[in-house]
Amino acid sequence: MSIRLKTTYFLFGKNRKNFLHIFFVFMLSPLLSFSQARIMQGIITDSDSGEYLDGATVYIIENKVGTIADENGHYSISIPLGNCIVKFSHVGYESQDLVIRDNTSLKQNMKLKPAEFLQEIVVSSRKKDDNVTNTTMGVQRLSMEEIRLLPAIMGEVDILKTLQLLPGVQATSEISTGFSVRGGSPDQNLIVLDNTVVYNPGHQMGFFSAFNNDVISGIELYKGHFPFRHGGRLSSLLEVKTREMIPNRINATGGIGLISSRLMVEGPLGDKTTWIVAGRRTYADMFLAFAADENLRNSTLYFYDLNGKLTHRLSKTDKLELNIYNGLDKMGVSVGSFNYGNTASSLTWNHAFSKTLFGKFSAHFTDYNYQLGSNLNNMDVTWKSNISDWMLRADFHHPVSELWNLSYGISGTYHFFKPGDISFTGMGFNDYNITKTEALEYGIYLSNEQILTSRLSAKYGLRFSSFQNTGAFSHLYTGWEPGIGAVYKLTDNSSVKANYSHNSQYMQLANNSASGSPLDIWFSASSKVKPQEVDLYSLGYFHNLNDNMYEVSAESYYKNLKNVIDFREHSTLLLNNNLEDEIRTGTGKAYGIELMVKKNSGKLTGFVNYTVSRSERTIPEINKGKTYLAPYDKTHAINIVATYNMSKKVNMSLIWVFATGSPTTYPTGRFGINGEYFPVYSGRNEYRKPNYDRLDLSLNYIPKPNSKKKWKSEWNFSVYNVYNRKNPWTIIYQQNKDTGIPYTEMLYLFGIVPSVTYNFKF
Amino acid sequence: MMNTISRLQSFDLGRFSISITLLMFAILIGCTAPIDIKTDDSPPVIVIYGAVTNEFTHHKIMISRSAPYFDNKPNEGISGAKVAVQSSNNETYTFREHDTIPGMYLSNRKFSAQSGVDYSLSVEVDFDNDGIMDKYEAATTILPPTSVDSLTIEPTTMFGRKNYLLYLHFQDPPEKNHYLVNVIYNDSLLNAKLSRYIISDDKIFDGQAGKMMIFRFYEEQEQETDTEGIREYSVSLYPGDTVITETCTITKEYFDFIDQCQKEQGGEVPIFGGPAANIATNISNGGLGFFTGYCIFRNMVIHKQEN
Repeated sequence: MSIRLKTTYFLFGKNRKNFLHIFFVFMLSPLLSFSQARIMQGIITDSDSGEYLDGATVYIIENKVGTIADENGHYSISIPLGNCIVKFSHVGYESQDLVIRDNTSLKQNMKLKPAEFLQEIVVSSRKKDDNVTNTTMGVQRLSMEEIRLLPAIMGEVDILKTLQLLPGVQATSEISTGFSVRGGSPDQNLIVLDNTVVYNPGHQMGFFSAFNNDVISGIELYKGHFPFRHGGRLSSLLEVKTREMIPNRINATGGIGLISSRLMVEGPLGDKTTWIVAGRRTYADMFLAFAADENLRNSTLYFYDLNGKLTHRLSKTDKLELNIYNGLDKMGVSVGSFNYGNTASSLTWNHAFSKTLFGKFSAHFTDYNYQLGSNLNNMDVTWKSNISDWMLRADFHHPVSELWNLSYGISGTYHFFKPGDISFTGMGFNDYNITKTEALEYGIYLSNEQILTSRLSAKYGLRFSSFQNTGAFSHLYTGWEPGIGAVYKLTDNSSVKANYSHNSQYMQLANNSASGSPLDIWFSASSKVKPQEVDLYSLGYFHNLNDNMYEVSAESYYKNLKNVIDFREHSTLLLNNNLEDEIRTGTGKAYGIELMVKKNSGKLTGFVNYTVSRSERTIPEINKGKTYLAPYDKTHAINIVATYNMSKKVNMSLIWVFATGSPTTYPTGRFGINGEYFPVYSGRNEYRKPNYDRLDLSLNYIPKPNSKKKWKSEWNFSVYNVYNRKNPWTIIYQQNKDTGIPYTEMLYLFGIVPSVTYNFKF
Repeated sequence: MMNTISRLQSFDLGRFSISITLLMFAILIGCTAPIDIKTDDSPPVIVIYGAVTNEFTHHKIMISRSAPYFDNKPNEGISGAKVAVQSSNNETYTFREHDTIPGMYLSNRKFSAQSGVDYSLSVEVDFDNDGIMDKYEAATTILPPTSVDSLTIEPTTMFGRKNYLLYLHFQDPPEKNHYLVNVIYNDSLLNAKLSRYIISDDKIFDGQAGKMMIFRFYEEQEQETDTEGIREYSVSLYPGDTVITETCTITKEYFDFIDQCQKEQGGEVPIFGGPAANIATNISNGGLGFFTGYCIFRNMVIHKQEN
């Protein structure tokens, strides 16, 4: 079947009929191939902890078809008439087979026992051959078990930095938690913590992420083809999920590191309620207390994160969940301060309407704010800014049959933007406020995932979004965001996949530096700024070997971007009441091939990936209208991640990273005024910084792996940048003090950095 | 850190972000190392820089040649140019080259530029040695001066150090204004170089009266340079010292030129800076640099012994 889905405007053009025809044929096709079946459903949990096993697989051996449990451990599968064997499995657990006869109950809850050798790296929490069988492309998953073993700078294991080891993902700058996906800008990534957006998930200018490892169960990154329930960004969706445990008793996990310590405590409250409380704090300022300078002793320099979660099971079919996150960076001296942080919270009600209809209703609040203050000679200046969202959403999962696996839902978000309010005390000036704006964003979607034949599966859907802002440039935008993906299994272990999707983005960051900044200003689409749009096409080949021990994949993509945003040369983005005047828009494209080999089990586990790619922009008012490289374009990128389990006591990990240097603009000439030289530049991004490479090593030592005591501990020794490579963070132009002749220096952030962390659990 | 925070109350509040970046350099354990970068050499172009002011003086125009960025010789001045400035009142002022400094041209006679009058510069020289004279032009308007009510010096303590903050008390006129402030300490101009020009627009205090910090002096014993490297020098203030400020009302175009020179001089600034871009000019025919004009308003304060 050939499907031509060029852009959303296809719907309104002369081919509208064709599109709708194709869409409805897909939606209705399950009716044409109805087969006799029964629906079996239940909940899969960990036999020890009671944790819901998100991603556990249920597989009918006779039919070679299966399904995956959702985040509440729920599964629902169509069972053929007659006898059959159903296999329940999950990585890290012992599989169980269940014989189903005609008279067997169709409600089957399953408790899986953890496998004995838990030291094994778990690369994926999904079913073993998920990468071959799942229709969605460009999905990367990492579990905390895997992330924890890897080397980390200053011993601070960080999910956002681990993410940057995946193909197609690049750090925006050295050790930054900001990342670029397939050449896109960091503000084109939607980052959600339990479905609540986190606008700036970085601490200390982005060098540490806002996510505390102890409360995170894992992450999923969608490099373009999002699940339809999310939208509003062009490049990626990163879903960060907190733990889903039902502990029998109070447990605690923690760590003591060089720069921070953390503690997570969880426990039950009666039969139906569980709670998690976790905190993390750095203590750089505690060392300042020993400073010789009295004023330094009173300085503040730290960040903290607090996470809380309360889960209450109202009935067999209803569950309430409250999630709260708050994080703050504080820097202060006697004459002033700089604070910034996020709050993200949600209340979710899960309800099973029937065996095949699950609903999720949630309310979300998120806020990112910063505040700068100064106090000199009884004169105060305070600068405050924030962005906050209120969101209500309802999502339904409706797995009727193999052919009707529907998802649909609706969401509404109220955005509030306060770009900057400055208040003066004692200086004689009035307050200076940048105009605050608001916006309403809605999304409604319907998608279906179906197994068409034993070899061919497809997923397709449509999302409709709308965005209305307030203010001088108020405007209503609407957009259709279709998506379709298909997987064709060539053999039991190999498949080819093709995906297409169209996404719109209605909000973006006013930041034109290559690395992120805490002084975020988000601005919305308006009558002057059109929404950014992307058409993403992907094609890939996936092959698993040796009973899924090895996963091999090759994915290619092509992105066509419209209304892509950049800023006027020498633009002023902070404290600007006419931000719209600084914006320049044009087109962009990005394409590449990502190759990946993963080893999932055995003593040696890990992955090697190679990406070759290009990302470019064409904007009439920038670079004299000539096409230029996007700041995150990296021609070649190689990542090697390996963990070797030497024994139950010791395992070692290695990371090696290589990437082509970032595009940059170098001076080709100079002009002089009063003995100082000023640069005359090449065209934008015509040069590249030196290539980036780095080796990190770590060793985990578990003193008593077989101990039956409650207290369990391990040591992590890490060395970051083992061969002390000086990777330039930025290039600085200087003039020789004697001769006045210019020369260049690079500023690099870290040489070799060893660290040690002590982790414990009781 | 001190500079960063105090910059919030200083004249150039709107441009303080670079200080924050420099603060981060200090907080991070960043190190510098030499690096060689190889670039193509752009062809030479003429560079013209100069100003006419309301001072009754010999005004100065500098003419030089641009060079490859890493050229190991100083940029050369251009001799033999025919330089003239003409006012919209049809007065023409011709310039002649300095006897010993190639490329420096001084007006033949002293004159004072008038507020509200336009001045245009013309430079004729055979820049590319092809036997044909090349002509370069630029124009500017002299905006009316902004009067500054007074100048005060106020002591403060930062990190246990005694500092003296220099404040400008003024009423900003209702229209959009851009300022350049020179600080003269005992007859020596502290911000003579373009990179140290103190500039601000009136975005934050448009049409209002108030005070803004302009400069920070140290107490006698505080001679060390600033750790953030924002100013490589520190100036100590003694009782009896004289401080003069020259508040110049400049055009937006000249403000942008200074702003861009200051931002681009050291290369890209991570986190807060934008991508590198060429510095604007008002010199025609492919030239670089700037020709400007402005009125100067002077204020003086004498530092007194504290009681």
